[in-house]
Amino acid sequence: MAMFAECSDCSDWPPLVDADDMQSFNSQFDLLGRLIDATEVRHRAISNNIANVNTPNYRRIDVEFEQQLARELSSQSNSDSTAITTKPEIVQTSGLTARADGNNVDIDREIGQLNKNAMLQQTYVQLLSTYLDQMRLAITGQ
Amino acid sequence: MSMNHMLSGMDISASGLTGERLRMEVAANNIANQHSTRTAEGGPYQRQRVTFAAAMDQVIGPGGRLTNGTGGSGQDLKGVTVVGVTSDTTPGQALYDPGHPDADATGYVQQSNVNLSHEMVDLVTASRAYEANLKSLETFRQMAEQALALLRGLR
Repeated sequence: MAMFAECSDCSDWPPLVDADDMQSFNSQFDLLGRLIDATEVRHRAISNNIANVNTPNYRRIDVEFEQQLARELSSQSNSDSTAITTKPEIVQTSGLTARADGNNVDIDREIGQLNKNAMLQQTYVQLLSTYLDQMRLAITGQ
Repeated sequence: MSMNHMLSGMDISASGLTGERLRMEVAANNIANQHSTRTAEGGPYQRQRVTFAAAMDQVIGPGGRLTNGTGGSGQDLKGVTVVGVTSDTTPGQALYDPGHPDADATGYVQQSNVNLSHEMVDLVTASRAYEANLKSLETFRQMAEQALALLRGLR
């Protein structure tokens, strides 16, 4: 309490920590959280494609997120706001050749996408885990 | 986000597993009955087939985007549903066998319309699709485990 008594307006609190550093740390968490979220939505979409591999007239769906995110991040690079508003969006894939039953799911492609998506998710989780470890180290010093 | 929602990605693959298993069971039933010349409904056995439909809560809007107001979070993807099992009514071959108890007045026995090669193809495709769904389920389990491992450091 003595510390608070010394700085009555607390305008320079917290001391020694640059507020920008803290913000960028938080935005990294936010970014990784959203990327992991998007991989989960994409997994649902791919699972749905695989489940419907024998459904006549079913059209393959996919998730759009990373490109929109990149666009948003590049447009806000010179502004102060770091809040991300892009959400993963489920869209039908166009331009694929359909089979005789009107279905355009290619099972090999789906399995490939499934593995790729799972590895991406693993990467994001590892990164997040490393950030958490860093944060813990900074807080506890051990 | 409830636990139900968190793990509902598994339900999508599970619906695929259920559907493909049913397809295999129906194909096995067709093969078992390929020589059945009488049924409860009368006449020879008719080949059964399974009809699938995509179970989606949303409609596809313009530009191929899912428009249901939820922003396409993936919570409304429900996998596949079995619409029903229907009979194939195409007639089968007639064999001349006057001594057969199901022979008609001219001595011909109406056979079932099961085609063994069709059933084998169905069995193989169903089995491959089952494997793919299983792989997807396993991948989801690994992904969930990875995410949950983040909590391990928190004590």
